[in-house]
Amino acid sequence: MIPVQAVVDLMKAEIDSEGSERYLFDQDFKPAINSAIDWLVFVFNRAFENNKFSGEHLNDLIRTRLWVANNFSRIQYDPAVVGDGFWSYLGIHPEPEVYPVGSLPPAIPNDYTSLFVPTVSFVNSKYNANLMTLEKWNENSDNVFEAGNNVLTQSGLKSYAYKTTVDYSSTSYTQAKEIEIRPAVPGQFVAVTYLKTPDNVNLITDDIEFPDAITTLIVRKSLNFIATKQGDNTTLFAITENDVNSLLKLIN
Amino acid sequence: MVSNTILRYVVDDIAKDLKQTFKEKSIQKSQIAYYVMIVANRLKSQHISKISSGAYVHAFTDLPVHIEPIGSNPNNIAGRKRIVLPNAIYDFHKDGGIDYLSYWDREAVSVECIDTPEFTRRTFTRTTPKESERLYYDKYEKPSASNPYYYRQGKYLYLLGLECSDVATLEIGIYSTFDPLTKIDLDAEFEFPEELLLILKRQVLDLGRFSLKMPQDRANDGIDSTLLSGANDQKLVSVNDPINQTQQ
Repeated sequence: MIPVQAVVDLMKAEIDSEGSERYLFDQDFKPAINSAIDWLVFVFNRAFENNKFSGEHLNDLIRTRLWVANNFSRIQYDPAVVGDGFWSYLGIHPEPEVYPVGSLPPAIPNDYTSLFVPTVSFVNSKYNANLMTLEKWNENSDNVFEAGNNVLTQSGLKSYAYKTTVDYSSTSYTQAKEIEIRPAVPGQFVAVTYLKTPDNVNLITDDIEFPDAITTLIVRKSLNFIATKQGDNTTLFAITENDVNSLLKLIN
Repeated sequence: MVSNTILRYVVDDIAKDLKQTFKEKSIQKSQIAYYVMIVANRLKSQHISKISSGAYVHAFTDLPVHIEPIGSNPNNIAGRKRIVLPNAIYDFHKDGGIDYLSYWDREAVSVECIDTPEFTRRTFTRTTPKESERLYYDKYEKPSASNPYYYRQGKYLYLLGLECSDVATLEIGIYSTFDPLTKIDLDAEFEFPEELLLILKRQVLDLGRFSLKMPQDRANDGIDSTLLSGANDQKLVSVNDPINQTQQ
């Protein structure tokens, strides 16, 4: 977590506005910091896609929660129900051990509704589902050498896969975008580890949900947005642009 | 010496060496286990064929004797007594994958020990359908309940000499191959010669390296990448390599 106050103080030092009223939190710093957060989410996405950076470094944003899969072995992530904006899946863990021990998955109300279970916690699982492309998903359901096959069921060789988020909805199947897990786990607990999107900053007493290590990157990028107000190619813009590019090269 | 290890250790060791223990791995554990089975079957069959030992004999008792009814399959010869091999076996010369086949003659009198079941083991002799013709011309070789024969066709062993006997079950000792992939138990004892584990590992690593050598851009993973895998080239193994010299 990075205190917003610390970021603002560092920004003021850079632009030499300590004690002045030229830059205000609500009008200048807050929008710049929020823009920097949004921009960082985009940059990290690119880094994830290229396997250059692991979401596991963003430990302030990692959550593991439990769902009960519907009868088609699918799970819907609904931000309104979970309370977190969704960024990316980090792990899908079928057959979890849960706490309280002995908790049973609640009954699903119909074939297609998966349930978010906030009252039970994930403890452990021996399994991890691999992400599979849509084409591989169909072709490899009986391929014993691919994750997510329906053939190998013995301990140690059983492997799970999940299919990326797809909207299967119809007038008789009223669910939004879902992931699907194979071998099927209908009506069973499935633990999902995901990255939540960082919350926007509202108050100067808030914290930014990124690791301390990227404080400089956030400060420089926020300054970069403030520099835009000063007109293109100003000194501040050029300096911060260079710094940001250098930091990005380190990530990529 | 039979191995002290279990299959899981062998598979996990090789997976670790091939750096295939993470989520986006290219080689599934099932595939490494399959590699191990392929190589282990070859090495073990060579070992058994060279060394006379009972270390790898699997014995099965109470195998039921069937008489195949008339059916539409021409490969099932109706009316002959036979048993089904309980497991796949190594296909050694002259059906050497079968160590012995016998039955208990419950009517024979036990002389030495009245505490044991009153039986005498009757051991079958191997023949072939063609050779069996000659047996019937020699009164000392003629198939009978006390001098039975068998011949193999696929997974069946047909029995000669029991035509007028009511023997219901047999005992067999065989050199089984490893279970198929869908049945193997990673945590079971790995019945493999300990002294050959090094060669097994080396040959499986070669198979794994071959898989990893495939260009990544042939995989449909949605990522545009022109970089090829950095796996080492597989070394060609000469027929004079110590691996081949010692095992063939």
